Amino acid sequence: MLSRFIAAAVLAALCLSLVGCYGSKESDSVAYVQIIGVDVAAGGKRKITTQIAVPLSTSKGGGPPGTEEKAGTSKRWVFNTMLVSAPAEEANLLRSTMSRSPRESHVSVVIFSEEIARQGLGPDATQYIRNRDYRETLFMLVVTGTAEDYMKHNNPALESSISKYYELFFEKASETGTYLPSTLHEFYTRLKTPGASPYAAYTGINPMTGIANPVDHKQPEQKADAYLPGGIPRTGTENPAEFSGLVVFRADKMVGVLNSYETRAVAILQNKLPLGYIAVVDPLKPEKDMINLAIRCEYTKITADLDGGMPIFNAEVKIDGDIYGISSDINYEAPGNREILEQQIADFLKGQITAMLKHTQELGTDPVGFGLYLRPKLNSTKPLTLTSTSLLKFAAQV
Amino acid sequence: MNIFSKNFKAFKELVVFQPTQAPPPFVVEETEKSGSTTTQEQTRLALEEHEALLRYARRVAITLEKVKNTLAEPAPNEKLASLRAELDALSKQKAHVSPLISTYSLTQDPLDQPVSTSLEENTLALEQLYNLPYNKDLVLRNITIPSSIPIVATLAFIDGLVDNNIISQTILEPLMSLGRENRDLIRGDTAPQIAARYLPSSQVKPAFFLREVTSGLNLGDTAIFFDGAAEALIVETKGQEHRGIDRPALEQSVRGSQAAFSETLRANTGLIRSLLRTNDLVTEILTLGTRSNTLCAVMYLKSVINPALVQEAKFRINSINVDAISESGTLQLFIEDHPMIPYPQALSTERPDRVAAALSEGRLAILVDGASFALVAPISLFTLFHGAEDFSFSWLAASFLRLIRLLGALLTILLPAFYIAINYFHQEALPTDLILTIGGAREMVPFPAIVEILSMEFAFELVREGGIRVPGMLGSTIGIVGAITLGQAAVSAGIVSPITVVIVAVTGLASYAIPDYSLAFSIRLTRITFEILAAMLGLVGLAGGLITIIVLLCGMKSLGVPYLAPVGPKTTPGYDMVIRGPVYSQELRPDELNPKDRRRQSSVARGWTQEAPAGKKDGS
Repeated sequence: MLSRFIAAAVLAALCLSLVGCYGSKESDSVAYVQIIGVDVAAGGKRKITTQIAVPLSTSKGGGPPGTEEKAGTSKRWVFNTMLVSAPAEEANLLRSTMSRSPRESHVSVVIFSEEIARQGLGPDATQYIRNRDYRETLFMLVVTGTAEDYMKHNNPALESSISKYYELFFEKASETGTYLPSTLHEFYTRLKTPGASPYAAYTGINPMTGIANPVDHKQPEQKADAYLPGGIPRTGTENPAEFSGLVVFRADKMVGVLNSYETRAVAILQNKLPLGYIAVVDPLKPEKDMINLAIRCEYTKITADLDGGMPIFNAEVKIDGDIYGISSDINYEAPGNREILEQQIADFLKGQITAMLKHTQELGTDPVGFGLYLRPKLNSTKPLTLTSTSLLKFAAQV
Repeated sequence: MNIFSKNFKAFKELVVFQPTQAPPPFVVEETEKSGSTTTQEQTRLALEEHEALLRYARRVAITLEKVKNTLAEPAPNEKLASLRAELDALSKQKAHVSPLISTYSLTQDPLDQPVSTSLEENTLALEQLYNLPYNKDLVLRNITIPSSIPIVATLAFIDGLVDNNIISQTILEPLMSLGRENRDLIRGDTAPQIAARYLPSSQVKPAFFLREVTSGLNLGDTAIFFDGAAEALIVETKGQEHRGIDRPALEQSVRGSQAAFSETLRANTGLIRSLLRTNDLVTEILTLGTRSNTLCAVMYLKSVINPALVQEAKFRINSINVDAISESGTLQLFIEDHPMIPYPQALSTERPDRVAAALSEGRLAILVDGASFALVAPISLFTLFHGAEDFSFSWLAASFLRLIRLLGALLTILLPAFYIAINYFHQEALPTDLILTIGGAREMVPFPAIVEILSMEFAFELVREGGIRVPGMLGSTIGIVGAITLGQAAVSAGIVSPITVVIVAVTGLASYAIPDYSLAFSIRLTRITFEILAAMLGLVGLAGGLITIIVLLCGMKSLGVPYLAPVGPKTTPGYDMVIRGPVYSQELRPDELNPKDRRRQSSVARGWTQEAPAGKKDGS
């Protein structure tokens, strides 16, 4: 019995040693790529920038004594920008330029320049979708300017990890609605799904001059301004990167951007606004007074119908509001006044939603995904692929 | 002799080999087997037979001389009766020393020889068996019992195992002093008469062979040989010094009984019986070890336990052929179903209340004389996660504690292996910040993660083992100081990363949540295997190890009962396995034990819930 046991143990040990996994790597022998930026380069090439974490700086105090000072003063990450003919080449070249083995499994964001987005992201996005090294939760951004510049200027002061910076940013998107989280997986799904258009979060670098650069379109009830990245009037020492608006696509090509308020209208229709802040013109003193409110919108109901072959959508939006401040001191909680304020808010949001719908219809895109509500009414998805969003009719009720 | 010659001589003495003048050192040499064993044995037997005949002849000569002197002048009746008794003894001895019987007896095992009618032969036999005069433990005391016919007797006992006061009060005083004038012992029936009429001891039994005599002596009883009687009396005189009932050392509890077993078998069985005061509780005594003759008690509730369990346990214990067993743990190794698997197949406990609870469930307990731990079998793996105070706490608290212990076992067995697997093969499985922290912490460490973990585990085991061996209160102090100092120093020296220290510390701490020491040790061994598998194959290796260990455990039995019951195989679950239900809902005994009586309590254990309160029974 003992000899058989020993023989089995030796055999098992031999098998394991002969066929064991040889792909193991120590966690400190790996370079963790966190962000990838893709730009257009001359000659149809791509300029790919990788942002790689420097472990010592991200684990201050983790090493032996004496390394903290070095850790505190050293860079938190390094950049590597290469011109490549094909994305696969980048993986090769990256391994030729650094001692450690780069691992893409911790890439959290892929950033595309606006230029490449307008050319079409299909060929570039596919490799990140199909490659199993990348996570399904990979965020996707489109930047004003180039991805390389954006990555190098995006230097958050509060976070030591750039991955955490983006994760936190998208986590709190639901607190404002002025930008939406977008993952590459969702982009690809919408790309391949009739009934909804892909979109991506829009970001850029603010010049930090304090000069406002709002978009010109404004509702009559609207008090505050809508912005695109780089247009928010601000100064200070906080990171100049900012998120505002939404990049919308037709198929895989970027066709335009929605401003921050239009983006919030998309969030309202998608039930993705558990908290938001608005300022409306005081309906009883419209000259100079305003009312600040916190709103919550998680009960939007969209229905679709076919009227003689013409699809008609009805969106019923329910808003919960909480008055934060009334500059005119009028008691809008009193009966009579409350209805006036509610109508003002309804007109305001209805106007924004209608403006967003009009804009997206002009662009021929459907970021809300109205087509998805129409699918149960159709026998096949073919009519959806043929339908032009510009022909759709919408009725919004707030 | 000039200076040159002196120096040359000194140098020569220093350099040239000189045979040592010291006596040769002691070296144990191999025992050489003799080639002529048979001849030597025949010579020895002939010599012993010759000596026995000579002793008999010498006694005959002395007795004849005594007869001659007595008959030379008128003698009182008492003297004649004494002479007659002596002659009777001689005639009985003659039967034993006939050449045929003598030769046969001498070829037998000395222990199988019958008690001789000759005191001299019995004394000689005991002296040979106990290696007197070198061995000072055996005491032989010759006395004369006053009677109408004075009887010569020899007391034999082992110093240290007997209580001298008991010997004085229950043997010497009654036989030598009290009521001598009234004694009239019938010739030829000495031993039974004395046992029945003059020995006030609670336990007196006859012995007809030397094996019975030595067995009694080794247990602390006293043997009385009578001249002319072919039997001895074994009188209970046990009085060995022993430790009193103390508090449990390893199974301390905040509630419940605070008594623990000691090293005395009978005190231990008494403790159990004090908790189960029923005639249904059976204590069977078996003997272990051909040389140690250790007593072993098998206890069970006859109307509850499955008889096959008792039969099998006794069969296994009786079949053990070994020279000495002095500990219940050793006995466990001899009777367990799977000796090649380190997982404990019997519960080892020092608490009588746990044993009593197990007996009432239909299990059996095995106690060994000299061991302060009882064995409870059969058990399942989940039984080993039960704590002593589980039975005293609310079912919610007890269930929570058990889950914590199970979680501790899972952490102990998996955490380091999981870390190794993730570190080597599956960095993508961790959040980015965490893997960066781990990678950063390992930046300055020169060793691979597996070496880090194994070396820290080794250090932890050293601290643990050292803490146990260091006497008294210093043990725990050294353990804590050693762990903190060693961990901090290892991190400072850059030998290990802080994350490794954290993992090994958490693992070590979790292992202490496992109530059974043997199980904790087995899990530690399994953990090391898992760590190596994880280093070689990552999570696949870890999963393979888990599957292997589950298959292994599923195939195990504890005294014939599946080790993973009630999970594998599935049996009717009770409310006292992992989750402990309310005490009134534990109506049935464990299904896997197949007890005679499955029901432990009635379906309505709390009768008061079905009736009106005591003060309102009259309807007021």
